[in-house]
Amino acid sequence: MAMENPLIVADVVEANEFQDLSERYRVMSVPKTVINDHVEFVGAQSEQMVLEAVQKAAASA
Amino acid sequence: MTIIADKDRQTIQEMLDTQLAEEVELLLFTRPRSRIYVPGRKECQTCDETRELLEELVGLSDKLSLQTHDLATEPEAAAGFNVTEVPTVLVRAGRKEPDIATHGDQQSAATPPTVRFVGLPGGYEFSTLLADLVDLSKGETGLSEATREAVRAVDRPVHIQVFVTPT
Repeated sequence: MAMENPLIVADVVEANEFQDLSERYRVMSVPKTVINDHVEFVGAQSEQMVLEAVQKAAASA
Repeated sequence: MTIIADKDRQTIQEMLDTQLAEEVELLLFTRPRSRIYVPGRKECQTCDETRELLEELVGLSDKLSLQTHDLATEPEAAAGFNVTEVPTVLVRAGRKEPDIATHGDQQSAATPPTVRFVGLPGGYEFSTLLADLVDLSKGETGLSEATREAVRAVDRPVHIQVFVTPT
């Protein structure tokens, strides 16, 4: 999705190397996705669900 | 000692040869190990390995290029790309124009890379990196047309962070 819209930035963060980030976002299991510090979910989700999460996060940006 | 296993090297090279269309640029922000001991300074544990891995990777295809920036000596470049952690690998479809053009007080960047890997892209993440390089190279994402339209309609900044581990 980041490739389709320059306003969207996607980071793949290695949880073990960045413990402070992992703690900040309470990463207990991976993959964990956090969007705009506002929406989060664990595990792989359908394209539709991810889209809705992005839209929801954008709405409160 | 190489990071990409010999048996994988050929497979990856063939994959890149057949899949890559346009050029793709990788930018690595790193911080080399200090030659002297500085108390309290947190060394980047995976910077050297990340740099080696990426150097090996771009060596496998003419369509891949790597730019390396040092976070300590180039803070403006890091700030321009919103990079705060090392190693961070940014990927984008290749551009011929310069990265950052300065117009007086304003800085405009030519399409800042919006797909980034924070930390060594090892294990499963390496496959993700390769897949991203191919997608960027082809300019295709494999998302449905409806999703693409909806994504393009997003008009506020969205920062997606996916926490992963290599295994």
